[in-house]
Amino acid sequence: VEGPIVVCGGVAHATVPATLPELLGAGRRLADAAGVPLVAVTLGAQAPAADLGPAGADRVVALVHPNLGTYVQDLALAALTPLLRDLAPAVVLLAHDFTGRDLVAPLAWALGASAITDVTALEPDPAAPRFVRPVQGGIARATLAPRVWPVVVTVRPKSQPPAEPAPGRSAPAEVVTPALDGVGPRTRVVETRREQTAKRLEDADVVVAGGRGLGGPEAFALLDEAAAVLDGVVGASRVAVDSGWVPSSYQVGLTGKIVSPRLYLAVGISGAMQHMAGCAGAKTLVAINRDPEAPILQYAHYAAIGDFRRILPAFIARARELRGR
Amino acid sequence: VRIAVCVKRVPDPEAPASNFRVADDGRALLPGRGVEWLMSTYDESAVEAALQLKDATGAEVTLVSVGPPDLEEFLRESLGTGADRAALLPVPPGTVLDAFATAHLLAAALRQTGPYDLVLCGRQASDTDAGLVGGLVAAALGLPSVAVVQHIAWAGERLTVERTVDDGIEVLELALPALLTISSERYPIRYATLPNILAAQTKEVVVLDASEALAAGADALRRVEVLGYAMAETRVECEVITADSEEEAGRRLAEVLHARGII
Repeated sequence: VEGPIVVCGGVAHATVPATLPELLGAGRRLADAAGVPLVAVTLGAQAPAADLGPAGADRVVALVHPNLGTYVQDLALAALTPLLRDLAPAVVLLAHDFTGRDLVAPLAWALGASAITDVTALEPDPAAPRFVRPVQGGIARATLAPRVWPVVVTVRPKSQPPAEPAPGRSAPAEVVTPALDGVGPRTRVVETRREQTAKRLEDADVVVAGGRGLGGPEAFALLDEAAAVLDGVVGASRVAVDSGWVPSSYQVGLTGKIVSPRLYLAVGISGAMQHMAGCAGAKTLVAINRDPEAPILQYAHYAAIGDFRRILPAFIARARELRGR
Repeated sequence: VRIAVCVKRVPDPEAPASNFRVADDGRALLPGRGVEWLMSTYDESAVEAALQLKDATGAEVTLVSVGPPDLEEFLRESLGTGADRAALLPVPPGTVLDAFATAHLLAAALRQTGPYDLVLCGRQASDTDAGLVGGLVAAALGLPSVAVVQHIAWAGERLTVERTVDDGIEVLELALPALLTISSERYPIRYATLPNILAAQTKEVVVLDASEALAAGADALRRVEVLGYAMAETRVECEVITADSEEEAGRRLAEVLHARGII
């Protein structure tokens, strides 16, 4: 397979997202194995302020247009498709965030490409890279190979280390103004409601999460208290979100946030596959559960069995004493 | 108003890992005999979204699927929640489909049975979790698509939809026809009712002619090859905190975690 490796990321207020260094890391490893250049393509109302050369890029193309300040699928497609056709890449990497999930299929279609999503491991190869992703809620993983190139790949956030810093490499952004004037986007963003928990959850050092076993929204007050003592953030399983106990921004799991904290304290969470796929990256997993047979105990490093209403307040009180607060 | 919902039958997504094994040649992940086959979770949410629009506007709801001929029975059962009719584009049992092949065939089925004002899919299938088919079907049909929609509000020729974004919710407006992939937060699963189950027996399940869509063979439609599956190793040693009372277990847990520098 010939052609460069391309990574794409949005730019907001001249800042690149945290996922872009991860994509550059993955892209660098693919590019080095194949002996091809790594091109970073950014979309936004501005070019990135930082030089992406030291983070791994050989070349940076900044698609800059006032209408690219907010992601709109039709505008992103109109900006990216002609540029990517010119670059003729072997692989296009996007983050598997909610922009990547919206963009990957129409972009692959527009390029006549293949697509592989939610990739957690990349296997560089001089001939043709392979891509590994979890399936069936994380109980197994599949290794996939494109039959059609290029392949558009979404990479799971936090799954890839950044590239070795290369302070000597510089890649000044080549600013390109895409022709968007004739594009009447078919969707219009009328409002954005930010839920602060969402970002904090992904970056949290400690996550205290609740599930079906909490029995209702009231018990989340106890989780708030535990999170306050441990300097953590509260999360939830899909059942708790679907039951309306907490907003969807709390959801940890394959379809919510993928977290990899130092400590994940799971309260009343049975351990459904799709939830565990979101927290299996935790360094230490602790379960408080009534059921000694709950599947979560197969993943937990520590467990206390019984009623969380009795265990958790005692845990919080003792943790407060031990931590001197 | 005509709404189509694309639905897939999958092995129970809650079935434990011990019920699955990798085929000897590594090329398939096989559910054991005890594993139930169900509608994919997010497709159930998409059906619920369609049925709520039907309740509100009198829309006609069609379930559409691609797969082996025995899906006809699955579709008839699925009509028990209240959809009006179903269509199956059959492929020979054992046919391997990827997202591109599936989307090509679903688009053919939607063209044959449409036109539709709105096409709904689950945000991702519960077995592959890829989330590609919806966006590919939209592209194949030339429709705008929005991925991971939590809520749909219908206002004449326009829709207002709430889409999940990384730091919250984005509200979008778009014109019909369109395709949306649906998430579960605000569309709980609707269960079949006896009157609907009885009514489903007389509803139409159309088995479409797949010969044109499959003219080049399913293999020619695929763009991705699965080289192999491996079971994920997840089991870890669990230290269960034992104590005379639950309160004591809570205190001991804090002490153990503190002693090991975890809290």
